[in-house]
Parts: sequence; structure tokens; C-alpha cells
Amino acid sequence: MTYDAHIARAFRYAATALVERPGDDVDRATLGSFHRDAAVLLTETGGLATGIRPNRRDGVRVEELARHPVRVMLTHLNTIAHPDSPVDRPSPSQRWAGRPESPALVRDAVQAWHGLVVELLLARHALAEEGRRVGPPRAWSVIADVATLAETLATSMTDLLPPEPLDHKRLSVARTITTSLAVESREVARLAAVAAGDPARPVTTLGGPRTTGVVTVPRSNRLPDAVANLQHILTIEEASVPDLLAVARLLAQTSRAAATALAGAAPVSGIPEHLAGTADALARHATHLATAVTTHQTMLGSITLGSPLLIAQAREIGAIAVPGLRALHDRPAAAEAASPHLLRYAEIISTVTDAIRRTFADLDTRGLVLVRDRSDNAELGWRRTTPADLRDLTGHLNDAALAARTAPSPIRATPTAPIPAARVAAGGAFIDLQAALRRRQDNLRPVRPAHPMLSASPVPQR
Amino acid sequence: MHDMSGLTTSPCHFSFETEVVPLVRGHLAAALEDLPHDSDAALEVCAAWSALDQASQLPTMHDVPQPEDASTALECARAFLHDAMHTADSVTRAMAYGRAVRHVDDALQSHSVAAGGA
Repeated sequence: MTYDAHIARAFRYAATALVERPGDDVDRATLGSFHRDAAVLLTETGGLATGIRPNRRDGVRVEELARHPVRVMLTHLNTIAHPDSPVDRPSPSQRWAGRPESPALVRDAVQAWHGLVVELLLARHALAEEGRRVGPPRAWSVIADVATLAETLATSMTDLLPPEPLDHKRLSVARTITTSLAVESREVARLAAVAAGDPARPVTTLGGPRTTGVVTVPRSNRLPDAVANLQHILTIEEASVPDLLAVARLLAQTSRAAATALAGAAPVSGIPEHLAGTADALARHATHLATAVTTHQTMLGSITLGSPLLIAQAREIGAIAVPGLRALHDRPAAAEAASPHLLRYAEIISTVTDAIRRTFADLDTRGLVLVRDRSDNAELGWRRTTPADLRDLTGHLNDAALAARTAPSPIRATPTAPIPAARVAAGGAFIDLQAALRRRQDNLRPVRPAHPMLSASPVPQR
Repeated sequence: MHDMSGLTTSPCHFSFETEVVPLVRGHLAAALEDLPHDSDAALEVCAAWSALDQASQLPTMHDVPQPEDASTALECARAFLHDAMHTADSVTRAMAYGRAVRHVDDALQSHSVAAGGA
């Protein structure tokens, strides 16, 4: 079988691995061992395609993401494959034994990763056996495979993190690793999807100014920028009805998670009424938005292409920010540290909600909204809207924006005492990662994945 | 529109991948009918629905009998998606079905927690 056949089977195991989340009784040691094996094989497969072979002692230098995004992702995978503490590694024959015969026969997370690792092993061998230099298009195709599977690895590693950690520091490091890998792999996948020499940022469908790309949200301090970017994308790209429903749903989930975090932070904060009032406004915002979406999701549709960039930005918020906020619900101190960013989110969310309502109305005016119709009048089950069809939807969206505006006015005074969140936001590897991502999205895709990025505005070499 | 029971339809009688998404959507819609509109579970059902979206295509949906409760509908949707994952023509669709199952699982968990707290 060829590389393509084995990697296709690996993807089916990966889909199964997404579904089979580890339960409380999972064999953590075995699953962790499969995760490390997968990281080894993804590193090696990426190395075959690109010639990049990270040294075991190489540290992840996220600031290099701007120049060498593929190298940073492979180095990160290599770091996961070779943790600081020694681990027992089964022999290849032990790996082979007991593998599932088919993804359809998988019954738990360990089996899914067992099958995935074996198929990755075979895919890597098949790629090596091709015996010819991997050309640039093929190299980018393989790197796209590696990036997608690396994101699945990050998701599964996150699933494996204990819900109630005994050791917060170790958990924090583990969260940092998985979040960074997820962010890097999505960036590389997006890069692999554009043509050589093209900018990593997509050109807008409306032919206007280029977008700001996707704002990643490795920490809550980037949430306001990411949400503001949703509004920016709405002004320069043509969203479809499903896109708008997806974004509204995501904002409902974000507001609810932020409200819970702020409510938890209020008792330990110096401004408890302010946080509690904002939490209440966000909770009502979430309720109105949720009602708008869930009562219309099955009824509305459109045949326009939509905005992949809007969905990519929404996915970034949904995959990283929302779970991160939910993880704050029983950590008041961490929630208090994040509260300045959540207050900023509360400040801007009403205008973003208004933008969604206006875009719905605009699509409706232009006849681009279709309504499911079970009557005989609609031959294909769909018809154009009447004035009454979207009244409830826009009413709920309007109510949501009004609810968000009831949050207490922002506090602009400079605090006399240092706020822990300011220190959290000002330091750490994530800041480097964010800066590097922003620079990378300014650059052009090189011909080969191993080449440094083609820079429109040169980035100084280190 | 077809009226069919999600519990009695045999995958052998139709092109599975072509028909399974409308059937899953039918069960998701049935679950949404039963869930509180502003609940976390309903939002996760919408997320599963969105995961099945394909650009420029109107979402087709088969009507299914209203189940006894939302959990039954969600379990049916999950079972169909799980099977579709293994028969999908493309690995991209298989991954999309996998992501949809995760949302359905989250909906089931939220529903269970809400029911326990009620």
C-alpha cells in the first residue's frame, strides 16, 4: 500500500480518536505512550517530506514561527516525543501486536491511537520507500497531513489532562504544550492550503483590503482581539447564513463561559459588584443569543459560498478560548487574573452582536436567506423569506446586544496596585507565540516547507 | 420530505453516506424541539449541525418521529454519525463526522448534568 492509502487509514483512526475520549478508567500510561509514538512518527514523516530533523535537545522557539512555521511545529512534536523524564518504549513488534483490524472495530481511545500509530508507521515507511525526492507540492501535501494529525494529537492530549489536578504547575505546563501545538498545527495547515508564493492571509472575497488573518487565542488576553476580528471579517467578507448562525452560537457559548468565570472571580476581586454586574449582563446576552440560534438553526439556509476566514476565526475561539474560560469556573484566582480581558470582551460584544444582526438583515434584503418550508407551496422544501420570518431572530439579537450594554461602565482609572492579570498578560511564551503568529501571517508561503518564509517586510535573522 | 423512523431504517437500503446526514439532521432537529432553547445542550446540538454544513449547500433533513426525550434523539444521531465516519468517501468528511460526534457527546453530557440538577 502507498503512503496515501496508509495516511487515509490513519485519518479514519484519527476521526475515531476524536470520538473515543478517554474515560476515567483509561490506561493513561499506554495512551500517553501512543501519543508519544504518534509525535515521533509525525516528526519523522514531516522530516522525510522536508528534510527538517529536529534534534532531541532543540527547544521550541516559538518566536521562530514567523520564519520557520513548519520547523517549529516539528520541533514541538519532537519535544512531546522525547519528554525530559525517561519513558519505557515498547518494541515495534509489541506495537504491532493487538492492533485493531479496522477503525470500525475500535472501542476505546487506546485502540484508536494504537491503530493510528500503526498506520502512521506504515505511512512513514511507504513515504521513505517512494525512493525519490519529495517535490514541493507533495511536501506541502504531506505537511498538511502532519499538521491535521498533530491537531488531533493536541486535542487528545487535552482530553487526557486530569479535570482536577493535584499539581497545578505541571498541569499548566501540559496545557501550554497542547495549546501551543494546536495553534501551530492549525497555522501550518492554513499555510499548506494556500499556493506557493501567496500570502498566508487569504485575499478577501470582496476584493477589499486584506484581512488581519486569524487571531489566535492561546490565552484569554487575546479574546477581545479575536472577537473584534470577527466583526472586521464581517465587514470585508460575505458571510452566509450558516456562518452567521455558527458565529452567534459561538458567542453565546463564549459569553456564558465568561459570565461564569467573572461570577467566580467576583468574591476574590477588589471590584466584586463590577464583575458580578458584568457577569449578569453577559449571562443575559448569552441567553438571548442562544435562543436566537437554537430556534432558527434548522430553519434557515443559503446557497452562497460563505466566508472560510470567518469560520476559521470562530473555530479558533471555539477550540481554545471557550474551553479555557470554562476551565476557570472553579479557579477564582485565575479567573480574577483573566477578568480585565473578560471586561474588555463585555465592552465590545454588543457591537459585534449588532454587526451580526445587520449582516443577517443585509442578506435578507438581498434575497440570500432561504427558509425551510414543509408546505406544498415550496417544491424543494425551501422558499424566500417573508418580512415576518426573521423578525424573531433579529429581535433576539437586538435583545442580546441591549443586554450586553447593561454591563457596568468600564473602569478606566489606572490601578494603584499591580493587577496580577497584567503580569500574566505581559509575560510568558504565549506572548512570543502571538507576536510570531502575527509576523508569520504577514509573510508569503515559500516554495518548500523547509524553506524560510518569504518575507514582504524582512524579519531580522537571529 | 420523507417520514421515516430513525430506529428502523436499515443502512443496507440506501446509499449510506448520501442519506445519513439528512437523517442525522432529523434527529438533531428532534432533539432541539425537546431541549430548552437557551440550554448548553441545545447550543452543542447546533454546533454538531454546523459541523455537517457544506458550503453553498442547503441542509437537507429527513423528518423523524419525535422521540420520548432529547437523549434518545441524540443517541440515534450519534450512532448514525459514528457509522458514517467509517463509510465516508473522504477523510475530510470522516473528520467532520468525528467532530460532530464530539459535539453530540457534549450535548448529551450537558443535558444529563442539567437533568441531574433539575
